Amino acid sequence: MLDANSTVKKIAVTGANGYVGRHFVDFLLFRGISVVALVRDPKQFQIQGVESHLYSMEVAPHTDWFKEVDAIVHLAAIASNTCVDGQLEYNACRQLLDILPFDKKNNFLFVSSQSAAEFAPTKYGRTKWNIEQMVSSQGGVIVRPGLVYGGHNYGALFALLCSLAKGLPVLPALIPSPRVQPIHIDDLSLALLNILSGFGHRSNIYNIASSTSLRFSDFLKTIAWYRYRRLPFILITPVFLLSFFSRIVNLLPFPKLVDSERIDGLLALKEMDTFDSLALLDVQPRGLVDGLCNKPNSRRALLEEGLALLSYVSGKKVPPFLARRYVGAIAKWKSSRRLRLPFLLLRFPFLIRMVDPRFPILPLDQESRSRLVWCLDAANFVAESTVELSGQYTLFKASSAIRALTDVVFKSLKELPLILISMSVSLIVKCGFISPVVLKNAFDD
Amino acid sequence: MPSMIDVIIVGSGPAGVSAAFPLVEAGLKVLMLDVGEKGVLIPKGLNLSDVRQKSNDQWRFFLGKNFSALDDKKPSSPKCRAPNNEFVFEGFHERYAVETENFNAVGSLASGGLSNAWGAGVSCFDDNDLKDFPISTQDIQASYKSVAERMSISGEADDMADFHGDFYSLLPPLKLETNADLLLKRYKRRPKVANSRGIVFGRTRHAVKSTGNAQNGACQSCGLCLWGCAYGSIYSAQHDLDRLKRFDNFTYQDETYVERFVKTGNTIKVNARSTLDDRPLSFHAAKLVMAAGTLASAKIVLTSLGMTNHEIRVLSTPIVAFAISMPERVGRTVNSDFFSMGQLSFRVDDASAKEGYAFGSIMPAGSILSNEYIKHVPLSYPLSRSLIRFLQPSMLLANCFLSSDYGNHYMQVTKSGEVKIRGTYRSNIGSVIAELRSKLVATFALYGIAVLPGGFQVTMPGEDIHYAGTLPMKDYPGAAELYKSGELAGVEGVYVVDGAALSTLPPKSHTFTIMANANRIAAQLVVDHIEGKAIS
Repeated sequence: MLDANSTVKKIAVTGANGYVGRHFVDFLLFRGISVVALVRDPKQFQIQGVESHLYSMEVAPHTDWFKEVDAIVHLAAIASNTCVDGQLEYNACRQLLDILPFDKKNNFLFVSSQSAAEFAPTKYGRTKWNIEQMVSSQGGVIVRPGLVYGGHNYGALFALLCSLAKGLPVLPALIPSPRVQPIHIDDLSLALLNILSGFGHRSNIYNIASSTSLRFSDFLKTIAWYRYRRLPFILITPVFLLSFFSRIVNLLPFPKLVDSERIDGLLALKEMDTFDSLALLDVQPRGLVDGLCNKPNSRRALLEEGLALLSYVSGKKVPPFLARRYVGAIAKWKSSRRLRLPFLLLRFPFLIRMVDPRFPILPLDQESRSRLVWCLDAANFVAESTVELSGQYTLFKASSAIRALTDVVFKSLKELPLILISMSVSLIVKCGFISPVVLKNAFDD
Repeated sequence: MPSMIDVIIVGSGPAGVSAAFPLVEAGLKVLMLDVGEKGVLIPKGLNLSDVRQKSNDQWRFFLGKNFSALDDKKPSSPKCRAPNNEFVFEGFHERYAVETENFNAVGSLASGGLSNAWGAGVSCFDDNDLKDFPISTQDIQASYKSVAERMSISGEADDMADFHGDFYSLLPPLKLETNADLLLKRYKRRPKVANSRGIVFGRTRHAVKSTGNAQNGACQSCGLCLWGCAYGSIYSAQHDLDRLKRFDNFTYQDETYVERFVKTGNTIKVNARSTLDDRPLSFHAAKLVMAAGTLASAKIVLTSLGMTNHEIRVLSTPIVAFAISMPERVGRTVNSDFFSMGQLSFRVDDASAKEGYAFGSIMPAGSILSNEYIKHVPLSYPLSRSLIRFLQPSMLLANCFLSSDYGNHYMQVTKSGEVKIRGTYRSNIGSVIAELRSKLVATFALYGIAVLPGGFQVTMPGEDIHYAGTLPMKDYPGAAELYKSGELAGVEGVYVVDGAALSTLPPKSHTFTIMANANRIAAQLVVDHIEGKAIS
């Protein structure tokens, strides 16, 4: 984190009105750093106390704008994929870089792309690669972010993905499946600032993204659930079908629905090794769920989990205030750590029976199991201590005796086959044919 | 502060106040030092079934505002996790720097000590229980009577009368819970079934006021005992402390934590600290009476004697718990509004125990929330809940205390001032429990009562919270042991009157005996004091 005696006090940001730019500016202002915003339309950029100038790639920037500026973060890019004018972007970047004096070139950050490569399948990727070469030869710094998400979704790829996750009745699971490495916008902002604050030894290229990749379709699915409470069906979609379809559509005189080059770009993404960069910059990217929920300690995800556990143990629809109480208990004793129950179990709490610590169908490993036991016991305690649910735990009225009996008999009959299955599964686990399940979402950490 | 103090008492629990009365009544100047944490009583006029069905705020009561009931570091007994009882146990481990290994150590810094959250069971030690004590029943009987007068004990002269002691006056017994009533009736119809198997049932003697109205502190059967008594019906040393405060020659100084004592000439200097600002304090008196609790007194004595890294024995009675069910009450409504601690008690022969018996207590199951049971049912959570809901109306909970002889627990004070306690059981405890279990299961079965599976598990040493014998009274005491008079060997003028002083610990409830022993020691102290004055 930047402290008071840090050398960076004023930063010029190009593309300050874009998705990343807008967040980054807020991030800097919050930390007391002055910003000079270079935007295409200063009228649309109205933040109090921020100096903004009309900046266009075609016109060389005015040196007066950069008085007392310690660093330049170059985010401006031509967003549309098909009409990338490589030379224009290249020149614009060069002009900016030339503004900084010789000994301050390493205060120039060029925010490139994960797809930058010499022989990238897209022009976009090749252009970025060309600019990168120029920047690094001049002593500037290159930042390659992964798939940026989080915050408000104006523009950019994240907005598109959000609208897909929100609107599509089915989500495509592409085969072969592209893998993405998400990075929350605040984590990226912190990384950019830490580079400028001189964290660790300076490198001239930083890869900023989660160090583990996840399937693109899992990314969409997570957005659908945590942002929009949707659980769309997953449709397995071979990529060749999709590109065929998009090429056909592109022949028609309609606005483009699917951008085939974008899909190609996505498919060609190579996994970045981000471990060293993150360690150098002391940035630990948050889990995807935490990032999407936009709340500290992913309170919403915890609430979600609380609701599911409470309704599983109490066998009744649970009033939402109870989940808040559950979250309070987890905050007090388990540092708000989630169990990370999979989607389906959150959506359909009766499925928690699958991992119930007594006679599980999917046995959990020791650690997940004991955490689940604690949470289920706590959920029982929380549920029982309410007017709404205490009747689920105790017979206060004689009239409910028959119902209680049928409840026990019915549940026991249901349990019998499950217990048999569970016993055979545990035998198989004991023999080592399958290993216990660890409660952890691959796309969450 | 009074200019000349005759006796300093450390601790305001049952032992401390019981020692204080004879001294104060004889006109001695007494100063009681105590940390004196205080709690808030639950409001009057509530009862458990109403709270559970009507109160939107019940979670604060059961879980606690900061969810303290979910603390898994606390002992498993619901009483110890009740948010309202937090002040009773709070801060003990930190203050005394207690570290344990396979031992559940509990203590209290509260005014009134552990009696703020005790089971209120009363029993006298008989000749058999006292056989390894340097005192006999004659020595202590007068003290039992005098303590009994102070604390109003309710009960009945039934088959357990001999066991509990039958020489003090009793208030009428408390109202019996439905299932307990059924059990007792069945026993009374055919007592031989149990007696021939070495088992005797009867009512528990309670230090609970059973007659009168709410204003004068009679039990209102509200079922909330585990969360603290709103009416003050259950005896707590705090009641006695309030009475003592009315004497001019008694001074109570709280927010004081005693660290050690030093004997200088004829006076004893007590080094303490203020719990407010950690300022060192010192007090002087001719006599010192230690009543800080079994573990705390032992720490202060060992520290003062410089006996660091010296292991002493800690006695504790192993406890097992189980649940029984009256089949005809399955699926009925739960009756929870009764005195909710041990209602019945039983004595069962245990040939391998030194005392020859184990002691059990039976309490209503309806006053404990179902989630406490669900935890222990080895079936899926939803089924366990339905099952407990169906069974709970028929259930009674029982526990059984075994001879302290089955355990070998030791404590020591390290050079840096930490208390280390480690517990182990003797290897035969498993077979003893198995034998008890089969005896009890068979007996209950003959009364048409089912013992539910899952009980009779060996619990961690110290779970009973009946500790004793760290500084035992002996005929010929060694270092860190006491004379029959309660005086610490080698340190004239220092007396230990709490559980630490007990020579052995039989399975029955021991608080009454601790109180009587404290009374006995203090009464003797008064006699010595008067004689000493007469000589000088």
